Amino acid sequence: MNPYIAFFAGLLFCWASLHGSTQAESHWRSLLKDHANCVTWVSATVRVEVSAGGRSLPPQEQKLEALGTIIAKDGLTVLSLTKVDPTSSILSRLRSPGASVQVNYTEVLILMQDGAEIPARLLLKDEDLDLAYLLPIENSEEDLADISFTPVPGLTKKAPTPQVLDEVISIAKLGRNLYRQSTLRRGWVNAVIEKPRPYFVIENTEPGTPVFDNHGKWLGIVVYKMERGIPSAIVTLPVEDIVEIADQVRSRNR
Amino acid sequence: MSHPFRFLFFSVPLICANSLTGAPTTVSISQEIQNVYQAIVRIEVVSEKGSGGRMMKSRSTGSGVIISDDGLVVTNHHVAGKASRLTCRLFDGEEVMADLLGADAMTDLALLRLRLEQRAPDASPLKTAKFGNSDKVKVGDVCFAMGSPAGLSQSVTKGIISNTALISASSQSFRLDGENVGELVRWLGHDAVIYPGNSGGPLVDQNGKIIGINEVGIGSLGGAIPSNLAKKVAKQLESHGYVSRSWVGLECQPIIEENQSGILVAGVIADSPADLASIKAGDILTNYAGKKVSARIPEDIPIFNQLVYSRPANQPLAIQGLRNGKAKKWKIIPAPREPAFAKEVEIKSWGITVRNFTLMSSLEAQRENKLGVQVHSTNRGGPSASAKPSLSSGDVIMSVNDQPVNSIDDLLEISHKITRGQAEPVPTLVSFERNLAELLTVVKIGPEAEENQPMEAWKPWLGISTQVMTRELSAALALPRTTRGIRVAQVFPETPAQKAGIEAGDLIFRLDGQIIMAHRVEDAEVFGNMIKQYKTDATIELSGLRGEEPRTWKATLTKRPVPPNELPKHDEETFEFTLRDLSFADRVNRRLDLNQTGLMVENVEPAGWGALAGLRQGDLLLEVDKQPIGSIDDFKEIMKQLVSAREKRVLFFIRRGIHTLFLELEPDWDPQG
Repeated sequence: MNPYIAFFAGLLFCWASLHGSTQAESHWRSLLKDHANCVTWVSATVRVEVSAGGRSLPPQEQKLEALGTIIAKDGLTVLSLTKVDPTSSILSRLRSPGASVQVNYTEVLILMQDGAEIPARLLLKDEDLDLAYLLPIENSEEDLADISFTPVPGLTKKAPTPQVLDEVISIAKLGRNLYRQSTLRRGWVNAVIEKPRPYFVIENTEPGTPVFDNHGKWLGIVVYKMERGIPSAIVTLPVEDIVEIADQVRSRNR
Repeated sequence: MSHPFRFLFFSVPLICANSLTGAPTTVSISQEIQNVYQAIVRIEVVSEKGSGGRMMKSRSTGSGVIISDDGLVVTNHHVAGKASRLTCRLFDGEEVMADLLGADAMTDLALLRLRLEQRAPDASPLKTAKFGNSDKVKVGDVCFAMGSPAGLSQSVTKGIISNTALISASSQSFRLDGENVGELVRWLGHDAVIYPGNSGGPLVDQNGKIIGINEVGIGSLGGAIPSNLAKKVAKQLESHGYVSRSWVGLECQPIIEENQSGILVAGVIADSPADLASIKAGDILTNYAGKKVSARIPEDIPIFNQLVYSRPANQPLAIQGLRNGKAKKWKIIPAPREPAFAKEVEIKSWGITVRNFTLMSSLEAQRENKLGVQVHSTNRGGPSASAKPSLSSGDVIMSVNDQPVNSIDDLLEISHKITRGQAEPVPTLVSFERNLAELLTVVKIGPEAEENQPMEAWKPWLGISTQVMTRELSAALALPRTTRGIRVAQVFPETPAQKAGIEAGDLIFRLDGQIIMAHRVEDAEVFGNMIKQYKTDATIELSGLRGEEPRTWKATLTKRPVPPNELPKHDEETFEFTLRDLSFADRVNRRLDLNQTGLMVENVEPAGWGALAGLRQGDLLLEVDKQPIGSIDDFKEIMKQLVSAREKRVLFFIRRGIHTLFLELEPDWDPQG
């Protein structure tokens, strides 16, 4: 090949790559700008009763904070159950057959970016898929009509399936110590599990947050893969599973 | 309270070694000692202590000794000082409830009175023990330690007096309710074996007289509070319910200079009577209230402290001593001595426990007066911990909605006015002090938050447990090693699988024609996840083998059985436990008959009436007072009748594993109703 042609071809390739990546990053930044608040911090106050070997321990209160993804305009929010339910971590520490853990929620708050705290109720959980769903309480002191929830964009019952090594991003929020600032995280699909149920293994993600593909399409929510009731790995659960169970939240709490 | 027990606990191995290696001796127990043995009691205690914003109950046992015919029992403060319920077991097994007359943290002593009126009319007279003179006890004297080690029945061990002025090496090591127990007490050290549970039991001489009350274990030695001190304290507790002491604010230590006598003033608390009398650090006291005083070694200090504390408050007394080698006289007016800490009180609507200030605690906190209410502990999920900024231990509440809070009574009254008739928490402005900062916060006080448990998502369910057909298993069952599928390990009763005729041992390879791709241990979830793809009322076709015969089964799936947290539940508030309906898993795991009635005990409040009677989580409640329990409503109805009748004894019939047993619940009904 003519060395000049090769040189210009290489230059063109570099420009195209740079331009493409700039375009993607610009697209992602606008996604963050418009939809950062589809991710929210949730505070849950729980009273935990533990019994083992027939003996009950004094109840203990705990305050937990977790990231969740708002999936509907009415504030329906999905969380990683493990983050708001200490049952699995207590049982794994107890190692006592027949041990029982009762988790009672005394207060659940959606912590909005502007500092408002919206009382909510945890309505449904799926221990197999590590999902918890909550909805704002309508008759609370906060007037929900004045509150605008930002649902995750691209809600669909048939989301795209990413390929291994696809570049993806996830929206998250930093902790209280970093002023709950919104963040974008870039990651790559390490594996696509098809059987026994679809999961994506994606690095650099945080449970409870949404993951998007290169074009900003919503792929799923990060949860723990549960193994005999114990969280064993961080995976992304496809949108279809999230939506299917969300239907139950509405039908069973109507 | 924890320190003495900790020392006792640590002392165990050494005590055991001593008892094993000691030379055999002939032990004869005189009649006098036999009589004292019959006066010792095992005390079962339910205590209440503030923690996590609540008063938490706990259960423990200790020992005591009956000292009078009218049922006075001496024991340790760390055994019974925070008791809300006391049951004494006499030497012959009779159980008598008791009331706490008073407790003194500085000497770790408490006095109880047995409820003799509750004994049977024909009950035998109490056996009592008498105090001896502990000042006459000498090193080498034979002694007997009596009590209920480890909560067992009454026991006696023998030893000798090893030390008549045993003190703690570290003066701050024995803290009880904020008091330094070693400040007043010089223990009688002895090597009679004691163990946790002996606390409060008597140390007896050869004549059967009480020479001490066992309190601590230090290494291989036991330590008993001398009987002369115990007798004085018991007398005050009987008369007043507390021990009256005075306080001057002096902090003293043994003299440093050789060839000098007296007590060295190490420090004087600001604004204390000693400060007002112009006593200063470095002064040497030689005479206190007409008595010569001296301390050459730390063991002498408790004697001086006993003298100082024993003088009546508000009555002037004279002190003589030296300042810079020159004689000096002081006149001082002791103040009444208050406890180091006041007892904590729970305020439910705030989710906190609080304390009033005492003179001592206000001085320790470097406050100008005793006004305000100090936060002792907070419930992490309660209103005070949720406030911004949150209230935390040590904060001092000064006002609520601009109304001053001088004491707990004020706080209770203001809170009551705010929350009366309110169904929802009320945002309340609270002014509080943290160190030198004066802060404001808003606490939403009011009724306890309603709790909820989320429902579990519905899942389709077949009703079997399975195992994967691994290569090895397939080969062993004479199937190709490439077999993919599952083996049915268990078929649950009354489930779609049973109705479809599936049996344990059946092999299933396909689900609606799809191969069940399971051949490794990690494929254990494959079949379950295939089932979960279906709707909850779908009909599926399974194909496989029974023995060598190909089979197909058609099953209509159902929803997974209702989980325990969605079943009807009842919190029994009087007896403090929680019951719920039997779940499917309960019936399967416990192999209960499908017609089995009863309610499952889900939780038992520690030290509640249920727990005290021996009720345990996981018990199946079958009957209450011989009435069978079929449902939560049945139970509620029966309990309503029993509570209104205030039955002295309620009989539960329960099933625990393969056993059944009766439990007697004996509530101590509140006389106020």
